[in-house]
Amino acid sequence: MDINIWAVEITIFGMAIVTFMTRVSGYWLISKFTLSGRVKVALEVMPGAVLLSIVAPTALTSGIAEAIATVVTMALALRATLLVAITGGVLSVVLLRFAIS
Amino acid sequence: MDKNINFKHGLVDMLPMTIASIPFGLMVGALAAQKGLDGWQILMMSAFVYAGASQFMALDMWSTPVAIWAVIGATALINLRHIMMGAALRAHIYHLPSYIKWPYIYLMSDEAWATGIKASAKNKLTPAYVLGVLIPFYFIWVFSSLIGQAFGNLINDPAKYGFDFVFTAVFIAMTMGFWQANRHSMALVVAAISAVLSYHYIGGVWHIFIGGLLGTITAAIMVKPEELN
Repeated sequence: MDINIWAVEITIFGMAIVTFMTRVSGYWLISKFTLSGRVKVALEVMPGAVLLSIVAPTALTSGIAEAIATVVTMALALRATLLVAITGGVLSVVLLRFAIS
Repeated sequence: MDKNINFKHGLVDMLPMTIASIPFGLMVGALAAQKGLDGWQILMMSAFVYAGASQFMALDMWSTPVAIWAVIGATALINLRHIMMGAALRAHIYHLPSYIKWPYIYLMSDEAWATGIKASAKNKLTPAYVLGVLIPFYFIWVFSSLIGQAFGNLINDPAKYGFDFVFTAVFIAMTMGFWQANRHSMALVVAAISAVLSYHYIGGVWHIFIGGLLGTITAAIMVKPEELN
């Protein structure tokens, strides 16, 4: 009965703890290893691989408008600043959805 | 090449992501309001959990009464990628004093992490630069989720303004920053394909971990012996 009053706070607190644990554990774990050449290459490539894996499913398979807007964002990111790329990507998805629907 | 980067450089490098976090924060806040969380609760969540994607997903599965363990478990799962991220960040921040290092680890958003690693390729990270990366982004995130909670009903159709695509655009743009910086395009192709496949055949949030890991392993295997030192 009593726990129900604080259920939301307990959940938030638990989320905060597990999230911090994921953030600190990789940092801590890697200190236990000597970094050989291949591990260094792996750590160098990891940022791009993780970022891309987060969005690839939504970016590439949620629809034709999203897929085209993803290509637009990629092209802009190679030529212009991040802000231009992000704004251009969002604007193009709005226009494409409007045009397609 | 080696210039002493300051607070302003950090703030400017993060600015596109900071701006883009506003609609995302508004959406998370609005979702929290719909699920019955009050202002203090979303403030606590954004300030202490401070992980947008997992907050969004947690609120999406939020019910009354809340399924405590299911939400905490799903949060851990979506944040598994932080283990890889923390490992990759270590070499770039190891030289910094503890009072900068620990806040950086606690506030290691995807954005702050990617910005720090990218900047570190050109200049050694300084305490002031890291604070410039962390502080404005943190407060904008917390503040925009609070505003979203207060005006929850104003944004009931995020797709109409493309708000739902902001997150995708930010991550695609950040990925391209790394694409230019390294020679391991094959690893990124493998990451993208395996992420899409595991998203459709395994489900959940495993695609982040599987794509990230397979892409990384690909790079480690494909590197030529003469490139190792």
